[in-house]
Amino acid sequence: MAKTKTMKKLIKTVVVLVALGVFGFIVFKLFFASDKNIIFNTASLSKSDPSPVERAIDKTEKMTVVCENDKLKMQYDYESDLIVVTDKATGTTLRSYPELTELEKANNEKGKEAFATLTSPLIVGYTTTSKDIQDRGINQILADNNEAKNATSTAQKPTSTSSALPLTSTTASATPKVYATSSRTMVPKATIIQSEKIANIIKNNGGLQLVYKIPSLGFEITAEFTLEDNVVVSFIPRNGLKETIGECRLMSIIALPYFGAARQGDKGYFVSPDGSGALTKFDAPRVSRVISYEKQIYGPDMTFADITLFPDYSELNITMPVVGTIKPGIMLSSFAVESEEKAFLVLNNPGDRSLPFYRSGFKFLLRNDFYIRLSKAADAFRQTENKMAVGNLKVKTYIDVDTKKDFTYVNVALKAKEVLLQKWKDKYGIDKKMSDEYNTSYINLKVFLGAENRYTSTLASVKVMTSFDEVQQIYSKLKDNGVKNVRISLLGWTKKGYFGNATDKFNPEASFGGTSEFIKLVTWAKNEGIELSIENNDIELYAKPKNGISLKSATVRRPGTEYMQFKYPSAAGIFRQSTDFYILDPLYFKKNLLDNNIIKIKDFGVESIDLTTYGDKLFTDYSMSNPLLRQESLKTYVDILKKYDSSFKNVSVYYGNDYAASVADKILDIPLNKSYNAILDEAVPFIQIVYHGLLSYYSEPINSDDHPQTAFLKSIEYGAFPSYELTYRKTDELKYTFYDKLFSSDYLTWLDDITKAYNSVQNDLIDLKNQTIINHYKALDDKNVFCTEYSNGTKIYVNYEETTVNVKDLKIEGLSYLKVVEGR
Amino acid sequence: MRIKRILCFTLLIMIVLQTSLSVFANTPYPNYFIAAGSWSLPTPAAYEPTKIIDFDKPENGKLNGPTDIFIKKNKEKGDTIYIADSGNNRIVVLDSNWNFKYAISDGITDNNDPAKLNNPQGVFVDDNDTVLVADTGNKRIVEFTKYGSFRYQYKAPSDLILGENFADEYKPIKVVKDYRDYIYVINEGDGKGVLMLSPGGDFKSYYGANKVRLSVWESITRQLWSRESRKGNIVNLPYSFNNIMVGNDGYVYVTTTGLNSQQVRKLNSAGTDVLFKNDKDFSDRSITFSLGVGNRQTFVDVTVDNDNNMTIIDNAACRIYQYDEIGRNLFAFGSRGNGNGQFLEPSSIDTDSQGRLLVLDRTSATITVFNKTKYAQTVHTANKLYSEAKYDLSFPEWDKVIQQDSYYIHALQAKGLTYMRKEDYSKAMDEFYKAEDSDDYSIAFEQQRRIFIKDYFAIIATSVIIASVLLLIYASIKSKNKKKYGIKSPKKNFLTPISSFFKWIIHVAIHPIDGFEGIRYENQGKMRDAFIIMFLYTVSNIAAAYSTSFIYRGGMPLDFVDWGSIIQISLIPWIVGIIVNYGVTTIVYGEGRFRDVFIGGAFCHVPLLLTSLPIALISNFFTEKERGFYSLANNAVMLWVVILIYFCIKGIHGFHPLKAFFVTLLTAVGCVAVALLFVIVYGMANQFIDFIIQFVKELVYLG
Repeated sequence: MAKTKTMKKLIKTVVVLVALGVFGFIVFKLFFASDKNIIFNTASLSKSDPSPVERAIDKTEKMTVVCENDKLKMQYDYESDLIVVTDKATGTTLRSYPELTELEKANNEKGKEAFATLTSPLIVGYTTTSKDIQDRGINQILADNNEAKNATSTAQKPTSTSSALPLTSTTASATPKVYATSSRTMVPKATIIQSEKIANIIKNNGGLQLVYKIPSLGFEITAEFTLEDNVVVSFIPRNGLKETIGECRLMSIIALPYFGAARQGDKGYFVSPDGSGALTKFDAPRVSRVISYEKQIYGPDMTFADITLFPDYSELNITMPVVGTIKPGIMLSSFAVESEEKAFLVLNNPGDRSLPFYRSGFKFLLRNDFYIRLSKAADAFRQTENKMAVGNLKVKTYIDVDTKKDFTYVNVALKAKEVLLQKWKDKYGIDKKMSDEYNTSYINLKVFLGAENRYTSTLASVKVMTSFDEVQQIYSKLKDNGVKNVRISLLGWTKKGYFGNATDKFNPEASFGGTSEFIKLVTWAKNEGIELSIENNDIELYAKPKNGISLKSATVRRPGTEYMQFKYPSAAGIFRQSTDFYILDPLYFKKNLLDNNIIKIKDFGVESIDLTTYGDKLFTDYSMSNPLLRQESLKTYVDILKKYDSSFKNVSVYYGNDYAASVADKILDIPLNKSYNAILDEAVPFIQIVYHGLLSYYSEPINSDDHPQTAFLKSIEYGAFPSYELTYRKTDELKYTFYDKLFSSDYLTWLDDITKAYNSVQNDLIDLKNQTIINHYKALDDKNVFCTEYSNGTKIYVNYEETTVNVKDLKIEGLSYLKVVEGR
Repeated sequence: MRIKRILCFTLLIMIVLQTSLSVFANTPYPNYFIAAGSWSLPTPAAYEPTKIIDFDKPENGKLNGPTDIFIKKNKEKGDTIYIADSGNNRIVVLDSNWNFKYAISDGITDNNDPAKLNNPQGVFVDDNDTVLVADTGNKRIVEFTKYGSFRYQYKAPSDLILGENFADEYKPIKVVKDYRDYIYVINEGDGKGVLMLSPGGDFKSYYGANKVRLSVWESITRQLWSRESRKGNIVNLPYSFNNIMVGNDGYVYVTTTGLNSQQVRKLNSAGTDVLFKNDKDFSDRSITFSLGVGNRQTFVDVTVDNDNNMTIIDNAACRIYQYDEIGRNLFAFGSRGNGNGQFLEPSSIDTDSQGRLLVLDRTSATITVFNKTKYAQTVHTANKLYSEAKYDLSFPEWDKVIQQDSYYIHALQAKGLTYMRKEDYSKAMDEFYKAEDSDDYSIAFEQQRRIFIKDYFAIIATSVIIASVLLLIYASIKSKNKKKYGIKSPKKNFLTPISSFFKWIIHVAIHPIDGFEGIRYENQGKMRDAFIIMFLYTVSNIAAAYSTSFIYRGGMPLDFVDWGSIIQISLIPWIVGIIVNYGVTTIVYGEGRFRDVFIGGAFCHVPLLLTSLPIALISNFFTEKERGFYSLANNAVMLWVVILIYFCIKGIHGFHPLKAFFVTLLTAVGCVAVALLFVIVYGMANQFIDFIIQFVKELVYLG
């Protein structure tokens, strides 16, 4: 009896202990799961070994010819670390770094770091502690570590030989010694061997291979420079990047940083695809406070973004991996062609490291750094990613030299068009062509249907701004004014309106009319012959996911297991603290939801779809279940877009990152401006020149612009079809929703403007839709008058001045435009 | 002592670097206005950056930590811009095209030269083009001729009021002159006010002094201190001024540092703030939390344009705010950053003759020029016409404003007031309703009600009389029938249980002594009744929230009615109250069971259930002036509830009246304690969980 009691007690105790253990384990897994075990799928990343070499270049050789073809010749000088590319037809030489004046040389004897950076074929970002990341010229890193080594070895072995490298004679700055002597991660002093640079000529087609070995940091870096036709290829094979010491981590690499550099006052400029495109002129006045510009291609990676309270109103994203340099008779068009998703476009004003040069290039991110917060109360601290999750790094620089020709940004854009078409074909299997067969509506009318009232949290009500029936009434009114061929894009058609749940959206909001009215609207549009499109948000979650989708396993996470949450800005320009939105994992969406979603949308009879996120946001996902590198996110996006493309008549994306544009039929909200960054001087229609004729693109809503009239003219100048965002009911109804950014949308207010814009497109722009923009320039030096030329000879002059101006014999009225057709 | 000396200066006209910006882009900052109630609502851009004035090299006038900008306006000949280039110990002068003209006190090496400036932080130019400089480092005000020649210096003033050591503490940072040639000097850190000097430089008085502000807690604790203790304590001096300007209207505008209210003032000649009667907090509540706990916006400069619109700049969040003559916020914009049109450390702002705003940035040493947009021009025009009582002319301008920004409340208010002046009260009410302006709505409503009563008085009076007569006839017939046939047993129908329920609960509310004792001792209370009461009470609260008049909601839109909160507010006090009361009465030997407390607690809500909706409905007939009636009704109901609570406790627990009184008090105290405890436990639990998570994460990441 007693035994049984004891047994029972024992069993009870064991059961309780086991239950507690299981509970503890679950809690631990839920809250403290580590991302250290996350294994990203890197199978698709190309990883090459360094090329086999023909021979090593002797340190005493001068200007060795390392590679040559019909058009170009490449030479390398070991001592000065100079790479010279010669255009054979003209004899023009391009140096890996510009020549210094005698005075500058003399000055740089004092400031060796600047000189070492200038002459470096690579600028390498690295860290030894995660806290302090520094970008330094490879020659400086070599010099620092040799100096440190010399200092150490001198003490040990007074007879140590001096460095063979030309730059090691420099005196080391105070910082480098830290790396060689202090860190617990360093190799023992006794085992330090000298850093070295080895220059080789690559086998077969030739080319320069530079191998850098820095044992004190545990780095080995191989970079290769070759020629292909009129292209200089900078290539860093992934397997040529090696790290052997724990916390010494490579963070980034820029190849040939000063190739194509220019001085202040030179003629020429850089052109970058910042926003619509921007020029950085070498002879423009320079403000002194901003020296460098670094922006990630395809937009910042939100997963690693710093925690900030204020949205940035001054910066726009970069849509394609290209940067151009225009100098008299010379055009350099550089493209990041491998790992471009991880590249930053870099522009520098004179002043960086006290060097008097402008420079441009691509900085490849090998690792992200990010801030992690262990608790709500604790300060965030900086961490770096554990592994280098990149493939090969490659930049191709097209060299066009014609001393009789004035190259402009238009030439770079046209080259970009050519290169991107080829890239889309090679990488995504999409053969996009200049076509004369694509449907274009003259104008895009975004109709905002409604959003939840943000102050009634428990039983939220939806503010109806336009019901499904009222959409038809808006159109009917426009039709009375002769506005017919429009596309109507429905915003917030889903359950609970604009900020509805993306995982529970297929019952169109009842207060707008519900499913039956929605289907009626779709049928009506078909009968009227209108392109009715719905804005479809697949992965931005404005609430926790529903329908069996787990927040824990199906949403994007930051490193450190936190959810990647984003917030919505308020009118006062601060992120609303009450909004915590999530992102659904793109891979999860593709695997589990995409097909079903397409079927459901098609069931409504919808033929056109406007896809959010895919064209303007790209990120890494540190979720345990579906980890995704930025590169893989891009591929997933392309797959999703292709699937939509095969299911719908028209697929549109926003903003226009190039991978999305490759699949899409239309781009909405294409940027028509550059950023406010002080390094950028002038906005140009660079991406418009690339896309024009390949697909239609629409402006951002003109009625939301600070200057609707000039915004309309800008869309005409840039070849963009105008767009408006309308509501049937008065805009002030939106005051207490998260969509209060819309301040003037009443359709009756904008009726006349829309009619005018429609007529302009109908009369002047629509026949140019399949033409290439072949030139764009300022028509008058001292006036804001611009001209866009199309391949059929048509010219559009746009006058932003308030008064009439004369361009040659043409009279263009103030705040107006003039179309000039060739032969008339 | 006056010293005259000709100062040599370079009259080299050098080209200053000016970066022109695209006028087509949207601005690099948010644009909004602060409506009543501190709501921020978007507007199209009011000002946009059009030029960045930078000075690339020292010889061209590269600024170093500039702190003040002053624009001498001259529409015909062009403005002249003076900059206190503090780090370079000089005053830089630019022409109307922002080209470098010359610099005052530039390149002087002789320390004994009276023209040599030392960290000048303020500059002012009077009508005669005399340049006054607050030469901070040299503790003096210096006067230069319009050609930049040294004329006078005003050393630290002396006066009994100023004290013996004043000359040592004197640190002039800003200086201006009024139309009487009186000189006003901001002495850094001086809490007594602005120093007012006579034209000869003699001290006259302190001007516009701040009051000493003590928090309630400080006031109480000071009362407890002994005289000796007070002596030893640091005197909490008023906060000091940091900038000053004289407007075209003769008023002196000042900004202060460190205050929670009245950070900006418009002072008359007596030094009294004429802008706001009450303490006005200029800080922008929508962004205050972003500055961190204890930090506040610091308004460092003020400028006034030709229309007397006042623009102030804050260097904590790098925001600019513009107010009209009567202190309404017209626009807010600006952001921190490196981009063109953004700021790092704005130090000064001024308006030129064309209405452009020039903002000086101390860290980037640049000037950003902001042009007024067409939208802002429309707002200014409409506002000016309106303030000049040209209501009809202002009306179409306000319409234009609303077309461009549907949220712009000032336009709606102005339209409403114009309608009111035209005696179109109905339309005026519509506009005020949209503007959420309950005060003006109330005035319009009062007039509308007056007209309504006047128009329909005969009908209303006749209806009342007929209704009264009919009622009397009905009562008399009923009374006759009662006498003739006796009391009839009422017919039963589906309404019978409802009416008997209400009769019962009203009976309890009116006869609480019998009612509550009946609940306890005669088992008259039913759990079902308690649930029904609380359900109906919650529903009536929701209905009341929707039915309360716009005026008595204080202009709050119905969008703010949150069912969830109302349900919580309706039920939580009841639940907490019954738990606390049951707990308290258990200790003091109350006889009531939990069931009785539960039911009794619900019955205490009956007065609210019966009156909240009718009072809310009646509120629609009253104006703001008659709020007293509304409050009285509500207070009377609350008193009724308190009486019920008392009798509930007494009746249900069978307490002596005095004991019941103390138990009632104890229950109230207990409820407060529970609320506090909840806050503390909730906060601590959060902290504890956060600590555990941090601890384990540290193990995982750093271990």
